[in-house]
Amino acid sequence: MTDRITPFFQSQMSLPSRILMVAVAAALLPAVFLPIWKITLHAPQYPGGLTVHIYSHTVRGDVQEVNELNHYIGMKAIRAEDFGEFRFVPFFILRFFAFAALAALVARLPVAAIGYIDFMIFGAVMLVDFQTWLYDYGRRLDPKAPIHLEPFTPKFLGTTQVGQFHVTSFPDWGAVVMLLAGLAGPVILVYEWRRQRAA
Amino acid sequence: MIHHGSGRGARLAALGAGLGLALSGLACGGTAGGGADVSSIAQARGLSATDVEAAVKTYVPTGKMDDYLMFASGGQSGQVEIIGIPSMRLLKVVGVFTPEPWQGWGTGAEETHQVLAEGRMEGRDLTWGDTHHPALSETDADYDGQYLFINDKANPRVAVIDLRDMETKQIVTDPLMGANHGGTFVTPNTEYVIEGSQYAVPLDGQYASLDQYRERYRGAVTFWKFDRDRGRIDQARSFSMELPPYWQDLSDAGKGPSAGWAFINTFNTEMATGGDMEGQPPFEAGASANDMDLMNVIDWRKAAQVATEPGKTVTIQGRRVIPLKTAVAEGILYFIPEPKSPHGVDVTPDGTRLVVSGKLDPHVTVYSWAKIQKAIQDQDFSGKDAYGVPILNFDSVLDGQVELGLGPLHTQFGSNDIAYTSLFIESAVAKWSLKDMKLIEKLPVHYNVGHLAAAEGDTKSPDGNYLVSLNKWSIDRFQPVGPLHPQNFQLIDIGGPHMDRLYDMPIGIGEPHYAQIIKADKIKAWTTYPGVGFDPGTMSVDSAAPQAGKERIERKGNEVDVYMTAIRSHFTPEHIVVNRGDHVVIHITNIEQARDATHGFAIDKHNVNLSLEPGETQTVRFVADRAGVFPYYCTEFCSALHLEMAGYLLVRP
Repeated sequence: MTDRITPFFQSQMSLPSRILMVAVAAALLPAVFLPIWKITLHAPQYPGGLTVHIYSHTVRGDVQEVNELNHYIGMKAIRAEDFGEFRFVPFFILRFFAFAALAALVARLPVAAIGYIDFMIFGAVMLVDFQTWLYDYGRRLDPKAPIHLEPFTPKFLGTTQVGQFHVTSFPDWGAVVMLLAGLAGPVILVYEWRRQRAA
Repeated sequence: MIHHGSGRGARLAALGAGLGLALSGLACGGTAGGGADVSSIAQARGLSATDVEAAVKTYVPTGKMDDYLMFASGGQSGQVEIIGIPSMRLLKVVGVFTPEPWQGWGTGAEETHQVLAEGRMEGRDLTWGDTHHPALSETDADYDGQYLFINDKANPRVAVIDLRDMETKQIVTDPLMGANHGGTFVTPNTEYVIEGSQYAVPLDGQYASLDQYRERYRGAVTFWKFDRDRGRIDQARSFSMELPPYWQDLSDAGKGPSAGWAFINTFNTEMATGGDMEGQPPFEAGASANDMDLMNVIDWRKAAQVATEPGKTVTIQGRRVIPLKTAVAEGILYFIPEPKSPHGVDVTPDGTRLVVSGKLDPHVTVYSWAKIQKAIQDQDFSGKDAYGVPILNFDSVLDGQVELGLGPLHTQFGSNDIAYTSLFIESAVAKWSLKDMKLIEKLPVHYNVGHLAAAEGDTKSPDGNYLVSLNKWSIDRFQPVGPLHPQNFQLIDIGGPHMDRLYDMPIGIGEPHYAQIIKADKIKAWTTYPGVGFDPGTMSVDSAAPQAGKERIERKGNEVDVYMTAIRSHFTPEHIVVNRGDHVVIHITNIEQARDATHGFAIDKHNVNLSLEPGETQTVRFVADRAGVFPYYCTEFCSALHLEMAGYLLVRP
């Protein structure tokens, strides 16, 4: 087995894999600017719903209205400047972009592999981080707020009921492109492995 | 199409047919069991097939929008009403000449008082108006949905309403006139807003006895220059023209080939001065003696030119006026004979003809613009009036006459050369063809119809689907609500081969005169103000407006400035402590951005109520002249904790 793995990682990546890496790089770049996650609040008096879009670098959408509603239950206002993540996440995405572009350029599988592992760890950490924030917002309610609510934890994926609101949290386009980029990793690995064996 | 069967049998048969129609529609929609219900509901409520058809044509279910917006004058209320068509639902009453507390119009908000103060005349605050003729701004003779103008007949004034926020932005006064009626009408690109006078008075505003009527009394027309970029009438570039002391009536502006000209009807060419107690014939008889009156034909483009030339205008009460003599000498003003006490003059959509309704003549008289132009060129005059104005030869300019019935007043247009004329005395609408100059049919209306308004009916391309009959009397149409009856707006379907009455809408806030109907999608009204701290007076964000986190109270001597914000469900600050005699200025911004999140701001016993729409900023100024404790609170039910949205003004002795 080892006699196969070493040359596998030492060999040049094939053209199809390199093209795919270019596609991955191309997909990652817009993720810096696309909304990554979206939280939608539905209630009778908001026929179009209220949506908060979370970007790599900021938060946009009906943030003011959501904060206005949240103040009734004593939830802390969502303010972009409170999130240190917004300062470094764009550069992380750019780093994955650089790994993918470099892997395509030098055609070395280890470069792609390191970038991929880095990317996966980052994804997992960010999801945990996101859920931690949600926990923090839902649990640390001001006891002097006009409306007293049992502390709750909104789900990072799925629907939570808060008062008259259905709060739905779901990946947005930025996450979709990152997910597709992530899928390219195993595809290249399997493809290259088979190619080696066939050779 | 189902029509009004005379007998009971016919009615029942028609009901069956109509319900069949309704049933098949429901079957298509797949509503289980709905059909049977509709028929039994109709029967139980005593609705005929025609009624059901009308209901189906007008009903706009929740969440759906109307196709058209009608802007109607509010008559003695001094306001403007916005009504959806075909539902005939009242959407809004816009405060114009009269305080409208709901909108915070003239009840404390400084900016609104400034606009109302523009409308002061003779040193008086005028707290009402008699709005008559709304005019939507036009581009290339088509409504563009940007502005609305409206006159106050009682105190000759014109107001400008911005259709982005549907608020009145300007009021201009016309001291020359004694009541205006021939306005407002706009020229095809809203270059000018035309305002014609009604009752002749001395233009200089001085006293002159009625014995001097012919020498000293005059009519006038004012061409208000509209500055579209500023959204305001430019008074310095506006001008007026002296007219003989007949009583001017309605006006219209030419379009297409007749663009550049304005037409104003007159009555009382007899120059009757009334005096029923002095043994003179009353006005109603004295002003109706002549068989023919005179229509003013005015070359406004030339008039605008002449008004800028030195020595050709005089200044009366601060206004630039083209004297009658100059108007005649410059070839700006002509007369056309028109049958007996005319009311409306309406230019056809293609601008080639004018339709005049002679109130006391059963005809509409149609004039050809090409013939009028030729007669002017050829100096084909039948004479001059007492003031030297050339009168065009009636036969040379006549296109034809159509006998419609008694009391024709106003004409509106449908598509395909179809015209609709109101018949006041007959209480009917006459549909007639401009093509073959023939009456097609008449529809009774309830009752005493004044103006008509058709969908885009006085643009170059009328839509030909809806017509509203603006009836003066409703008599037995509505549940009695005391001796003062509402007016009755009747919606008529003119899309089919026959006119069908669809809906009666009671108007319980004044006697509307004219209305205009615009395709709803032409209006791009704001749903919230486009910035926080937005001043509707300047239509821009005020950088000095209070902002979230920067609320404060500043005192300089006895001047106290309060910078306040409003957001669900609190004002910041909630305590204002001042000393008796302090000059208090409260600046408030509604820092909301959500649609419909309006807050009110009322102060106990201070005659203050503001309406702060999302993003809006307003200022209220008063002297705290009485020591005491005065709650202030939000007057728009804004949230579950609306009642808690309050504060205290504490005035220390």
